[in-house]
Amino acid sequence: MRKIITDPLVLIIAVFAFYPALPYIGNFISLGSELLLWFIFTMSFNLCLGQTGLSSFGHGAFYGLGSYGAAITFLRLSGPGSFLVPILAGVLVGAASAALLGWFIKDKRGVYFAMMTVAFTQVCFGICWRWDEVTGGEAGLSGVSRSTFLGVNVSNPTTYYYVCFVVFIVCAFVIRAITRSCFGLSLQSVRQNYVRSQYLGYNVNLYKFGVYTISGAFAGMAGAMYCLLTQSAFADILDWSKSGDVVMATLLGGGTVSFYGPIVGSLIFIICKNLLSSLWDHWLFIYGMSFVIILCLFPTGLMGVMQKRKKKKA
Amino acid sequence: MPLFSVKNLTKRFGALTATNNITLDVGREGIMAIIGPNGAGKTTFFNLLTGFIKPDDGKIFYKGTDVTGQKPYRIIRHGISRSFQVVSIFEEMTVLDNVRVGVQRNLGLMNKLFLPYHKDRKTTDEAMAVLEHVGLGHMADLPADSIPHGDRKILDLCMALTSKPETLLLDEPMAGLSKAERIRITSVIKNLSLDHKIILVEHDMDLVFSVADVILVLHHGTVLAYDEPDKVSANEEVQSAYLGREVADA
Ligand SMILES: Nc1ncnc2c1ncn2[C@@H]1O[C@H](COP(=O)(O)OP(=O)(O)OP(=O)(O)O)[C@@H](O)[C@H]1O
Ligand SMILES: [Mg+2]
Repeated sequence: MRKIITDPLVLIIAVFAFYPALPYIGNFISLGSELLLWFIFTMSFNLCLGQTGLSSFGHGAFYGLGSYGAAITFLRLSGPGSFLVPILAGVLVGAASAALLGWFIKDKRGVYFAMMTVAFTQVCFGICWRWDEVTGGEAGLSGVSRSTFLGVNVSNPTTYYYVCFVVFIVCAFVIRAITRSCFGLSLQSVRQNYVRSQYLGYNVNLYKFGVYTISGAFAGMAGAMYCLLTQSAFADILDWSKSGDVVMATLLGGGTVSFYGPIVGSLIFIICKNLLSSLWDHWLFIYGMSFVIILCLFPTGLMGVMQKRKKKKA
Repeated sequence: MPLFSVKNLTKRFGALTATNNITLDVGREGIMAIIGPNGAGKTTFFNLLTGFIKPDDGKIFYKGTDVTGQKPYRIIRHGISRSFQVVSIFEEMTVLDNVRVGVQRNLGLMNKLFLPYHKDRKTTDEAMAVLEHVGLGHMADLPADSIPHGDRKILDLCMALTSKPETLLLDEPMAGLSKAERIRITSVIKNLSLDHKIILVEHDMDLVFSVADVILVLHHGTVLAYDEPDKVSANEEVQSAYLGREVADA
């Protein structure tokens, strides 16, 4: 029991269960949904960075393609009234595109790996921005709608918030279980010392490919649900800066040392984005500066600071 | 049949030939030591045997099977394992988890997506057994980067044992150790030699001459001598290239 109460994930879930009732911020219900989806997205990213050491700095590709996958499926195949099908399509597109890219770059490391993922995102952006017939080009895709799912009216923003909430809970526990599993330890070994890992019998490249595909599936799911949230898909989300945001949020939160890093980081990032940007157009300047300063002082991010304090107390 | 059979093995790094047309058979008996001055190509030879680097020319057979160009993760399935000259462990894990990585792989659990790794009894028991066998049991829960150098060296060796190899390649197991630690490792190696075929690179001549049944002397990537210890120490070429200098240093 005590273990459950002190579980940080349970705390996060408890807070978000009451999000719509929170003062002020609770009025921005779609901000809450966006937050939850960002948590899923950054957790999927951190499965690559924090767990396996893959600098997937173009991770927005899978989120974006998941979003387009859902929109196109909705508009061309499943039609109004569908809900689960476009989401599953997003998962599939995310996983498939990550698998495709992963297969070609599984033997790359460090900066080379990073640059290939960024380039891939750029290519995806280019395609979505130009291919008018399928992706709607610059105008994007709109006309996606939510109606009912399992008898529940998900068109209501609050109801949809709780759909995101449930999906987040499931994803968080699944991803956390993966990080603590035997497979997770295998991934850890790849990150910490891939040479030794090979000599213990691990086909390192295959693990990189595997985790990349899994990560792409979660990112694609988050993207698909984002598409249903905004009821549209735009090429903006494939912009490289979006991928950069994920990296910044994860590092700021301390993803390299903690499973909770991406959640903490996204929380700060999304709130800053929404609050600061309404105060001042150049909010990114402040955010970027604080990011640099914080990471210079605390390279392992906020969770790193917390862990160090805990250790000192012990 | 020889254990390793190497034919015309050659590896170049730019203009430097680190392994120069080596042809030799490694027998099955006892401990083999590889010696040679710094840069002689000893580690490169290990890297070639275990598939970490590909030879520019030549072939490697292990017990009659052509293993040339196979990656390390495949090589170890033949029953070959190695330790490292520069300690190569998972620095951010505990000592126990370092060994667990190898043990879970050997038990075929490494792809279990939802089995918490620290909860698997079999892995834990086996990893603890490996650690206790070499006297590291009491350090199991310490972070690997916090233990003394000698113990890190032993941990490195320990990890090589998790695949239950038949042949062990040890790259300078004594590097940087104190006198007491050297004695400890010597006994560990002697113990291992009872049920493993050991090939050992070492600069510590006391160890080499006390444990080796056969010695290979490398110099500038070529074989200078390959013989029993007393014949090697009597070899004039070896003396001038290597041992002579050691003696002069002493
Ligand atoms: N990856 C590499 N790239 C370039 N040169 C290399 C590489 N690996 C080894 N060398 C060179 O090949 C030569 C042989 O190196 P090697 O590490 O095999 O020597 P060694 O006999 O193990 O020496 P030591 O006793 O110092 O460990 C050295 O001159 C080294 O600089
Ligand atoms: Mg060497």
